[in-house]
Amino acid sequence: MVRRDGWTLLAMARESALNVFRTSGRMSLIIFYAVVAGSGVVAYEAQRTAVFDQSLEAYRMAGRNIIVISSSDPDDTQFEIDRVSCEGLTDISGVVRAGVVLDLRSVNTVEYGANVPLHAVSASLMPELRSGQILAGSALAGPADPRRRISISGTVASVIRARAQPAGLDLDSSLVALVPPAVQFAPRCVVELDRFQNVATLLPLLESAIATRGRMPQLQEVLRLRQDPVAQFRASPERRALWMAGLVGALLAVVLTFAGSSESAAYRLSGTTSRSHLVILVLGQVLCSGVFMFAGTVALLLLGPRIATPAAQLLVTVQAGMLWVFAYAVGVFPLLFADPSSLAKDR
Amino acid sequence: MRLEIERGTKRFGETTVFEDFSATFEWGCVTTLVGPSGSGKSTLLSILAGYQPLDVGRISFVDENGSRSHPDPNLISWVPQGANALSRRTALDNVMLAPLAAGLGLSTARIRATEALEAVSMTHRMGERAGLLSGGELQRLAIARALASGRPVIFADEPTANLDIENTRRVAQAITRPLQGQMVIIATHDPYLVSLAQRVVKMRPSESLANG
Repeated sequence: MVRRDGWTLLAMARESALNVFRTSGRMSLIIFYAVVAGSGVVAYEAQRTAVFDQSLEAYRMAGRNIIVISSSDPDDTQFEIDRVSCEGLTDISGVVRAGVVLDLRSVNTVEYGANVPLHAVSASLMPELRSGQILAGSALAGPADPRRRISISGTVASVIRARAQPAGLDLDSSLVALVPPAVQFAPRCVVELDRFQNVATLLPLLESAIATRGRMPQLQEVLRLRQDPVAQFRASPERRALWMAGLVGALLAVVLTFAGSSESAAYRLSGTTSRSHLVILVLGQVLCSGVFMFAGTVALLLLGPRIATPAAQLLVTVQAGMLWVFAYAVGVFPLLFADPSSLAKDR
Repeated sequence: MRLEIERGTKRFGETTVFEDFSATFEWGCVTTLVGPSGSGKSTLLSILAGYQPLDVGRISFVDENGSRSHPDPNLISWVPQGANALSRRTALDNVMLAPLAAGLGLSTARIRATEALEAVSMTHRMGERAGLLSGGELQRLAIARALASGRPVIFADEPTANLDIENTRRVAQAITRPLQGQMVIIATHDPYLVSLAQRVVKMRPSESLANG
């Protein structure tokens, strides 16, 4: 005999909402968990991302994802890199900046002392040079007042302080000027890749895009790590914390549903079919997982700038919420087959 | 119209709950199902409701013309023993479940539930959370839910178990009050409840006989 009832979707949604929001006790525990887990996991992810950011920045300063393109033979004086091709590497997706570096002579200045190395660098590598000023390396002792002008070999220019540069761009103890327009070739090209970029996948593209005179160029990553920290971060189990939180929420809700089989009996013995009862239960968990996703989204809005990939995190939050509902529906499925009169006794 | 079980047998594995049992339950009549613990009263109710099958025998509704139909859970409202209620919801919310499940609109369901609570003298408690009601009140709440369902058959499984005398009287009066054409079958040990019934059916373990 097929059982049927007259529950409308609206009445079932009302019933679910009342069960979730107008009650205390068990459902409050789920709602509390949804808020804490939703926001807590996102906050934890923000904290984890912050630590990851710091380590990536430290690796960057040590030369990770910095590629120096130069001659494969240090004694080859004929080797030169075409400036335009080097600066054009910035057009490649995954390249943050690229440009040629020329080692000029050492200079003597009143402000920075004697024998200070002077380099000429592309503006595509150090955009601060576009202002026409000279850059003083971050480790160079001396003034860095833009209103102050210094004279280098008869050329007068104002000086600003450069940011600390990563290994491979060893300019922190130098004065840096813009490469003159007439220079078309240089012995060295330095490229900085995005910190999430996998170097190995981009090297062939860089190699094919660079034009040289003389021998084949050598592309060398200044700091090569044994394991890719980005891949490690992405593969870490903590990335799945939100999914786990969703599953735990579902598990908690399933346990509480079975613990409250007397309430299930109240529905079933009132003429509610097992199917409608399941819909009421699942709609309740849609609301709970909605709270979970809302808490996660609010945390994302507040902590977004501190999270590496907020859009991806939002997607994971929604997936975790859906996983919650799906896992719950699977977990309580046996209730469909329970005899209502037996449920009434399972108090 | 009547509900008949003919030479019914029910077993759980090696255990025979009842065997070759026959009985007739009349429409518009309150019948108590009596017998010692383990005689299969609750199991029989569950089978009559269509929740479980018989192993041997036949159950059917027989109308005035003698035509038969299978037991239909959609015709039956069940009053369980004890406190099967949504404890955090009000008494009114609990009783409204039945008319809502029957497809009535919200306002009609509220009216129907209020009337049912009035029938069991519970209107003064309708705004109270079910978890705060006494055992007797919860039992009357379950009866109100059955009445509000509008279904023609009410089964009650030990509705007065664990209640004091006063609550037993109230529950018994609520469930045995004159009904408009409804069939009521009550599995019970309670002599007071039996005394209020119009018919009694006796069961014995593995060997039962009907007694009109």
